Amino acid sequence: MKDLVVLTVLALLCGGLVLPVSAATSTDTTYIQSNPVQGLVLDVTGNITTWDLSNIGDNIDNTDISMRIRSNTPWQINVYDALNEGKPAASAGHMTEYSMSLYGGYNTTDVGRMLYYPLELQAQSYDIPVVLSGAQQLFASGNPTPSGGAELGGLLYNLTVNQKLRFADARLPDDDAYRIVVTFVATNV
Amino acid sequence: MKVLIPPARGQGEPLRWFFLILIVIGLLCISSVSALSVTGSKFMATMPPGSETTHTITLNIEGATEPLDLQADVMGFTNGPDGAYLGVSAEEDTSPYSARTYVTLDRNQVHLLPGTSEKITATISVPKNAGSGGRYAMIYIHSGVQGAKSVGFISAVAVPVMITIGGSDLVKTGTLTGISVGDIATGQPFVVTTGFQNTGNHHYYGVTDTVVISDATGVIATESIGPTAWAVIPGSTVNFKVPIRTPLPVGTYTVQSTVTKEDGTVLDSKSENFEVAIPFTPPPTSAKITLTPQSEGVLVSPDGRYSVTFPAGSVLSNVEVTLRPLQLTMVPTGTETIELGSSTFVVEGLSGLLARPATVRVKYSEDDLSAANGDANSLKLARFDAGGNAWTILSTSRDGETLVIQSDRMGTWAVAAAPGVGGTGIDTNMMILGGIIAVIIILISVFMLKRKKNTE
Repeated sequence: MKDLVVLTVLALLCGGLVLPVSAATSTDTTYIQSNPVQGLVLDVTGNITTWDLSNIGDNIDNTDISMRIRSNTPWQINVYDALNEGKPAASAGHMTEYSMSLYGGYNTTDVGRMLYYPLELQAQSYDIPVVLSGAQQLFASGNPTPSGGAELGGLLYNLTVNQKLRFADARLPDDDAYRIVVTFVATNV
Repeated sequence: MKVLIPPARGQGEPLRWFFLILIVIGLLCISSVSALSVTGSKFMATMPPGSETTHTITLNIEGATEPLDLQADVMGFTNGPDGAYLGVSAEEDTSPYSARTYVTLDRNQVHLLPGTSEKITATISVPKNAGSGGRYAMIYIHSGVQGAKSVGFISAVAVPVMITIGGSDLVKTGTLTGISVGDIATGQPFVVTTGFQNTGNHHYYGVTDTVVISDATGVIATESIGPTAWAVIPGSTVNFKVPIRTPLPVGTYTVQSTVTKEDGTVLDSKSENFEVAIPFTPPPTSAKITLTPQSEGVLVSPDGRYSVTFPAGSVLSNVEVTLRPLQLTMVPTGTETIELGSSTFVVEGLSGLLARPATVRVKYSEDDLSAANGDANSLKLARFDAGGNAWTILSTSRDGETLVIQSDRMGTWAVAAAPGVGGTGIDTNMMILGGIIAVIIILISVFMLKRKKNTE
């Protein structure tokens, strides 16, 4: 009988201890709900120090420029020639005569020269090249990029740049050069 | 990105130009701006008329050692023909669905220091008389040109702002603005382009364009593209390009293009007739094999038109080799123009010369024959020599409708029309070198003869 009383007391004690705990669990639970905001990281980098524009025809570099995109939702990257620094409107997409010492920037006079063919860019070797112009064009797109675990993650592209040259493209005097600035625009779609 | 070609020394006749241009060295210098990181890179919400909210955009540069100045502007928002999201300047932004004037930024310029982040707060206010449907804007954030002489590329991020006016009627309609059938050439992609405009007042994602090609006997091919990951913005017109991968004999066909929403609802459908004058064979898919030194390897395109047989001992170690069809638009141009047919492909994975020559076989197409004005004897195989930037027309034999050559190097291949070219197998550079040597020998001979005469 004593044992029964002891067991009953223990059971009540356990119940008394457990029940309040249960109650506390249900009443004090804090639900945290969240969702990361959309975000992306665009990294275009590289350096071609000796690009020999020596070929009449294609001059291709496909080893020195890379582009990495990291995004947690579907994304696009567009490219275009934004005509920065007063680049003449008619030269959109073309490497254009530039000299700080002679013209203070691009040669915007009537005799300003540019290469005949616009610059071409490819994100991957099997893509149809994007012929650069003043209008934004779709360059690459995709779904959320791989996290990469401990690595940087994202998608890495080795870009191909091609400048076609023809006989009639003028060589420029010293202190003068052809130049172009390419704008890469990343967007979450 | 900056591309520089150092200066030349003068201008003159074409020959002089040639040698001058040969020594032109281009410098392409890209300043490493490091990664531009943006969170809050999209705003999409339902907002009732007369309401206001804020949206925070956080910016930083990863791995940078230099500060970066950014400019932020609010623009209109439309799709480009390829579906790309485009910002529209205030002057050009005439869309009735523009939310450009709804969005104000707390600042337009940001000076980002390495290792720190900065915020831009956009206040979005929907007017009480906003109307129905969706309203769209773009917050365009871009760096300045980096560097002084070595100007860098520009990294930019476009933040779409997509507002649905709460409690309003959403109209999701669209119309096909046209169907066009591209050039049809054997071995080349043949693309049906469908123009499509969102005529409703709200955007939609997940659009699919399905193209059905039929003739009098029934459906020949069904191809589709989509669903799109991007949205079609009201008022925007986009082009869906659907490649056709089914052979088409000569004849008259009907192409029907149907654009549907994500739930399968048809937005619009139209038909056009077109002719196929030369039998169309789609480009083959890629083929891949692993070559070993011990045994022969045969790389064959899935349609059997292109093959390369590598004899045992042609490679010194195991190599994975791929045969990939190449679009004509991607075929390199050389120093001299040659007449190419439509059969073009590339063999990848091999660098340098083979220890033993491989045999390349290509079954020529009707389009190749057309390029040669119907003269099969003038069809040759040409190989692009990237080092010399020139096409080399090779000594080609013909086995029925198959062109056959042997070569100890791979690369880009094409069927070329070369009437009167025997195809000596000697490449252009060797011919030039041979010519120069011959001229030198002749000059020395003339000099020696004159000297001999003088001494007599």
